Amino acid sequence: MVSIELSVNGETRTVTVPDPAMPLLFVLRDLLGLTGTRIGCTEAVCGACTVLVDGAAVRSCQTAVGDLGGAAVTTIEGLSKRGDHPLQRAFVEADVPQCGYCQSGQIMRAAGFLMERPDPTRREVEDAMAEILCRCGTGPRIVEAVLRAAELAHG
Amino acid sequence: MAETKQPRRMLPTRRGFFTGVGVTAVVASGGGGYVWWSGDRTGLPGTEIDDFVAVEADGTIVFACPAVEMGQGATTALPMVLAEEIGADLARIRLLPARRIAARYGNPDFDGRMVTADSKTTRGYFDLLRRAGARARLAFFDAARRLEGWSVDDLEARDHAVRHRPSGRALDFAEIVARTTLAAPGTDTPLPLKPRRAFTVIGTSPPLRDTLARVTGAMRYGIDRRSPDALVAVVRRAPHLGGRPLEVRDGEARRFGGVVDVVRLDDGVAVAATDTWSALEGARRLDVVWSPPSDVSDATFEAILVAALSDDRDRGAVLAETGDVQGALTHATRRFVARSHAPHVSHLAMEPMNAEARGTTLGLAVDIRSSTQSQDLDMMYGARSWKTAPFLVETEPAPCGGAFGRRVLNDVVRDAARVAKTLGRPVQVIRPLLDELRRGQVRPAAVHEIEAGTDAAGDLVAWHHRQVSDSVLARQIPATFEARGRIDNTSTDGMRHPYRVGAERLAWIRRELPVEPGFLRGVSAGHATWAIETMVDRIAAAHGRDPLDWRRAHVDDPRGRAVLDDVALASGWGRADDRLRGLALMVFRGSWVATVAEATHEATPRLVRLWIAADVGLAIHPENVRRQIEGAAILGLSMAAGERLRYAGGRAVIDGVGDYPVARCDALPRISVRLVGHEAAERPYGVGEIGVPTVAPAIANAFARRTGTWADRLPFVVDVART
Repeated sequence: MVSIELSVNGETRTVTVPDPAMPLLFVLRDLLGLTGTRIGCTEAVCGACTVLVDGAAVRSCQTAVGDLGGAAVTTIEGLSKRGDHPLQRAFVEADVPQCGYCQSGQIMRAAGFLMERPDPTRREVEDAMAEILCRCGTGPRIVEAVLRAAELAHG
Repeated sequence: MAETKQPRRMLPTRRGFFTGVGVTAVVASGGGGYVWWSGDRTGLPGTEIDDFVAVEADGTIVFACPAVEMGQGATTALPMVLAEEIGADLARIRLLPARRIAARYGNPDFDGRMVTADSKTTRGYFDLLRRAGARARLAFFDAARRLEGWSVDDLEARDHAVRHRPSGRALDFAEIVARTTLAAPGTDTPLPLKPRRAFTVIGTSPPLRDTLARVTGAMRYGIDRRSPDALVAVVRRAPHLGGRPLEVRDGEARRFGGVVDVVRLDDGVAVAATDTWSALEGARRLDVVWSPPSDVSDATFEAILVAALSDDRDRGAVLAETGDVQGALTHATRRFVARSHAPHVSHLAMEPMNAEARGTTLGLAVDIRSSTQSQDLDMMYGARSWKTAPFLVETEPAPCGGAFGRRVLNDVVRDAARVAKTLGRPVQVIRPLLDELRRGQVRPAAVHEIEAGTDAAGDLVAWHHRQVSDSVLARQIPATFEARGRIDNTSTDGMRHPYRVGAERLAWIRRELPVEPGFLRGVSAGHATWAIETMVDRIAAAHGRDPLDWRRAHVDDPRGRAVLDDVALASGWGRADDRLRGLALMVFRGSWVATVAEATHEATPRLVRLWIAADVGLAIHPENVRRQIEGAAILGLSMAAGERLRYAGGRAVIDGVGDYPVARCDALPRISVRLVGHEAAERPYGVGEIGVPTVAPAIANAFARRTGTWADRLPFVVDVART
């Protein structure tokens, strides 16, 4: 067992893991109780586990906790205090979620994307959000909501 | 106000017979299965008005919700029906999952079972919940009469208050329960229901319940609800069909991280650990010798299915037969024959299947918690695997991260019960998506053969439709299969086309394949509609008739004509422009759907847009109905354009989840969904699945306007024109 210190949602947390190769996804869910980050395929295909590491969207199922160094991890729980991040407001406004399972990953991917591209075209949004799988078919509403969030962020 | 009779209960003698007995009984149900009834309590807090409704001290309405939420919006639509009749404020209705008491909470449209599936929830519970709401409203009226001396005839309920029309005064429900005790109306009290024109809640589109929790990560699905004292386990199964462990070396697995134990099952090996990663890694580190794979492949499956079409010893179960179809085909001016192949497809619900089992009562009983579509069937799996009586199985449903029919036959409960029983401690089993793709339930492959005959004008005179497939019911719930006369409705759904024809025969032939069959959103309508609707366009094209006119001329139901007219108008059908337009029509789950696919006029056409018109009867929450249809249409597109499980060498050819192609949002057409006829409709019909089936045939028919050919198998190539 190894002790590792990491920064999650602005707090320093210490976890004891079987191996530093343990993916961040399981550290968040099983050791820190942050279940808002969802477990999906665990092979970097579905994107349900997407979080921000130093502001960039990454797949936490492929991110070894031992490789984080001092990087700041932001999960859906840390995106805003009251669920009022522009993306969350836009997703609520457009009533995007159906089952909602992929939505943490969608929103975190969008958050990383909008930091890189604050004024995206529709096509850029579609390409970025295609990385996160949704089986309920909320794709068209996701694209609308991300475009709207970009507006809100400027607003 | 309309008077209605008392609700027709599943068990009319229930109260008289069971009240106070406090025991469990098993009662045969009409569907050939069993309804398990455990205890006599709803478990609702507050003053119980009805099986479904209680009122708490602050006036909050508690609703025992009989359906599970999997994204379809039942936890919004059902309370709306209740709120409408009570006069309640939606925000002051609290939901609790109904206990597994099928005699009270079973869906009348589902043989009285507690199953959330088949697009049957809203339509099935509509009457029950209106009556429950009316009972609560009468209870509030009666209390207000006692408190104020008002005549009940002068009262109305809205915005969570009883209003006295002559004085204009209002009593909030909270004030009523603070001042007096509510009494449920007697069982023979007539229940006046609101007339359609007086609806103020039904037909509006309030925000969906739980949306905020879903965008903040606060929503807890079944997989998130592992108890603190439970282990988590992953079952390693062979990649090939039917593989059993012959030899297991588990040293490396046992040494890994938080692995606690290894349990050998007849069909796999479970690794239980204190954390999910250790369970997954432990399972990966097992060294297992499996029983060898068979050599079955798609070619084997297809040969079995196709051979059945020429097997004279088994002409299949007949769904409908009118006139002399062979004679009519012989005398037809033109004859058409087409064979259509549908592959095995998977659900790929995003939340891995999961169930937690916990022994109780010295190990005699078991509690099951799971992301499930059916408490009744979880009970069945739990009882069999725990080897106990069904009434000793408690079930707790959790919200599902996608379901699409997969969590009806929620067989992961079996794994959880077996592992927890062996280890003698609570265990949550989670099933990796890759394992589910390789070894989980699939929508069975099918072959359709349609022979059609027309007269000189191109009108339909003969229709002979035969389908060959495996049966989910026969394989998974044989008692239900027998009770339904050995016809699996989930294998034949969609075969009943809406067109007038002189002579026809519809038959389904069952052939067993060594793949685990399951229910999938739209079930067989997902391919039967494609087979039927592409045949219709072949006929229309051969006779030089407009596909819309042909359909209008063959459909008698005004609802069918209305959706055709609506989608034609919206999509610019018949307009002389540079677009191809293809049409498909269907009636399914009581709803009518017409879809137009619009494509570019190129040698290889590309899909631009989908126009959908649907008559779903009364739309409780129109915006959610449109959302459901849009989402289902994307699944329909995904299955038209790419989804297929291939089999070779006795296994699904899947090495990673990414090998199963699904639609993503960089390849979607614009989708417009319009509701038709809901303004005047009195009753809701099915919604959840109806967006799926018309998409593939509408696209195929659009492309064929240019290419002149129709693919004979799903999926086919669908390029999407991005804007």
